[in-house]
Amino acid sequence: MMGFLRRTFSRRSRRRFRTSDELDGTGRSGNSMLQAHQQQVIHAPTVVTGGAVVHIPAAGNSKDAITCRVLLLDGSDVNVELLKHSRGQDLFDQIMYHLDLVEADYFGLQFMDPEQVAHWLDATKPIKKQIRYGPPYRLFFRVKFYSSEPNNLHEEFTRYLFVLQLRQDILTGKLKCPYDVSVELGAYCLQSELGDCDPLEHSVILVSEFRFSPKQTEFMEADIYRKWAEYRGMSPSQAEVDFLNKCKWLEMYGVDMHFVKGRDGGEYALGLTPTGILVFEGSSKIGLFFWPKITRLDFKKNRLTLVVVEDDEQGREQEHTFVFQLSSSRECKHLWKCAVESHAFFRLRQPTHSKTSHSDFTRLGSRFRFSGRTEYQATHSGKVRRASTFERRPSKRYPSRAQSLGRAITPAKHPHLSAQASPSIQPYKHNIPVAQEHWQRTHSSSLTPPLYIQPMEMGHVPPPHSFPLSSADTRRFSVDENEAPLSGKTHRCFHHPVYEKQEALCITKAKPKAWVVSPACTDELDRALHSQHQLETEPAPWPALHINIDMAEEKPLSEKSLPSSPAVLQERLKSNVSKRTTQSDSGNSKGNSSSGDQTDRYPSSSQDSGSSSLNIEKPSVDRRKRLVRQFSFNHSDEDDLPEALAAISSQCSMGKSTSNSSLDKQVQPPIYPPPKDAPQLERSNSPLFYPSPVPHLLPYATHTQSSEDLRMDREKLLRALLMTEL
Amino acid sequence: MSKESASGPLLAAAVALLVLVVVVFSCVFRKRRQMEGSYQPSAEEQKQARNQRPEKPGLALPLPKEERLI
Repeated sequence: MMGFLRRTFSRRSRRRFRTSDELDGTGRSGNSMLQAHQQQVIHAPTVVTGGAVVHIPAAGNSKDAITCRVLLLDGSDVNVELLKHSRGQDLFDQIMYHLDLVEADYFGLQFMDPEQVAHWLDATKPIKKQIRYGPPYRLFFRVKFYSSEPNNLHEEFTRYLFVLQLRQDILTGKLKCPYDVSVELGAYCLQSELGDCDPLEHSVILVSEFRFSPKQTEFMEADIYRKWAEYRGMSPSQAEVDFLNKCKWLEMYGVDMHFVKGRDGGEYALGLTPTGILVFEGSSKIGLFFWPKITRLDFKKNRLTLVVVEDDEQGREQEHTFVFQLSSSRECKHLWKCAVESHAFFRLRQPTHSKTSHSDFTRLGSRFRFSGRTEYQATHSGKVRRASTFERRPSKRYPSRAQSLGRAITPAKHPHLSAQASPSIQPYKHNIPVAQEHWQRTHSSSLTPPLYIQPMEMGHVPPPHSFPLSSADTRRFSVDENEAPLSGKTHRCFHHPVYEKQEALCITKAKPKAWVVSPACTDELDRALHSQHQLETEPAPWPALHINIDMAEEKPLSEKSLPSSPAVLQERLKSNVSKRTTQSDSGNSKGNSSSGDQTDRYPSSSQDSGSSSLNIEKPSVDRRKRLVRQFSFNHSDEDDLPEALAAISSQCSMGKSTSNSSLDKQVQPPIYPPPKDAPQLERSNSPLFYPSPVPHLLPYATHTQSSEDLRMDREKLLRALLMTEL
Repeated sequence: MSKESASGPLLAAAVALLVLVVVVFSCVFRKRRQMEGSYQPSAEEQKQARNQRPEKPGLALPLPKEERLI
């Protein structure tokens, strides 16, 4: 009967929302992108080796108890038995007690519902009602609110957990990190874990056993090693504090991303931050709505409405309405709840005491509000307990480069290697956290996934247990993120002879694969490329190295002189500069491959690719730097922001409100596009629409004339999102 | 008396209708509570500012002392 009623009474709304209902979700690209993001978020690989599975019986002797499995940040699994009608708070308390964590306000328990939407466990509601998918309930202990000022975290243990969470985020790619920052962070991690760098005991190869970045290369590891030596004398606690202080300046630090669709159907993302809501188009920032300026944040079914006021030059206030669409109503509600909680945590001093209004029975709409302590309360609680000890877990280790290299030389024949490589492709696919299969598998079997096997037994374990990284792949795909590995070609400053050879060999193999379309190949090159193709999805750098070593060994066997022997490579490397200068004109095209004869082709192609990559990467880097500078949250108001943030948490109310408002005023430049765009925006049927242009919502310093175009583009995008009617 | 006996089934029907209406409305309300929500961030912040102000009156800008004209 209820279904009948629902159908009859909501038929009209159903028809309107049919195009966007959740049944369609699986086929659409936005949903898949969201799922990929969620895979990263939820099923992220653990950074440290966890302890044993812990069992907490908290249900007394009752027979009908529910079991919750919580995966902690350090990788350990905690099984908690609770009474049937326990609330989220009970589970949370058990976990806090087990961890001995006092500053629990920053953390939360997350679970996935059957539609692959992540939810935070509500402390006030019963667990059974929230997690509808049957027991055992799988939850993930994560940082819910990334503290805007990590120095305000009282306890070292809290900071340690934050470091673990951030390391996980960086590894999964959720937190994008430029090259030098990730090098420094890796060095801090090593300093914290292994202490001072002792060249007698620790070598660069040791660094390769760790995973710090999804695009880890040997060059990066060497840099990390050097940086690590610089941090001599730092204690683990100090290293972690520095780690957090470095991380907090990253653009995407603490940004809670949710993927949405705009009114124009394009893919956007909303990021929740302590200062406001960021709007991303694809992966570039196009707007920031400050919390004080957002007057309404509503959701209805799967549409989220944002009403923002802006002051234009004349001091008038104008309202702008933005509507975003999500792939399901659950996701929409989740985003709305996250936004509500985020705002309350970061912006309010105490959670709102929801006065039960007279229309409590007949109210429409969720009553959800943030329950818990806000950041202000958390940092001003004042209760600091005597120093408590905790154990830092060792990081997860993977086979180092030398080991996989050594293992590969023994079965030296090429076809054997390709056979060895192909089974590695399968585990790689599992190594990317695939939430779908994982989720379907979870409720049956054990949840410690075989993906994260600790490869302590180094006997015959093939390298693909390792986390996906590939110098070959990085050189191919890292133009946008990591320019250093490409520019690493120009650096020949390796001290370790083994690395030099490896690096050079890697380069020769990677470059031709990426850039060269070689029509006529020798047999070796053919096989090499073919094996590279096979290993295309296999990201471990070591199989590539295996091939290279093989090539070197096979060289005396065949008379086809591909210059892959180390001696020839050395010589070629020395002549890098000269070759590049001669071929810089012809090197601009990517596909430029075979110039010259066979013997020359190899070095020339790599040179071409090198120069072409250098040429191509330079303008893209410049453009990106320009965009980043313009779009960057940190650069233009970098100095203002920490003061404001510090002011929020430590200063008095008057000071706080004035500094906040001054910050708001400061960072909203009243720049508007020329009014010629106004006629495009006029809609005849909307009384709400003001024909003035969309205000410039971004706090960017004005730059050169080229920034005008970019601003126009951004405003066009914002205008496209602007909704005048629901 | 006669009035009551005559309107008995009518009363029952009215009560049944009322119950039905209540049930329907509760379904609708529950659905809408799940599917809708509203939040006003700036209003919350203003409420906060208003609540904070009476607590700390001393932090208002101190008025300058009156000058004495000699």
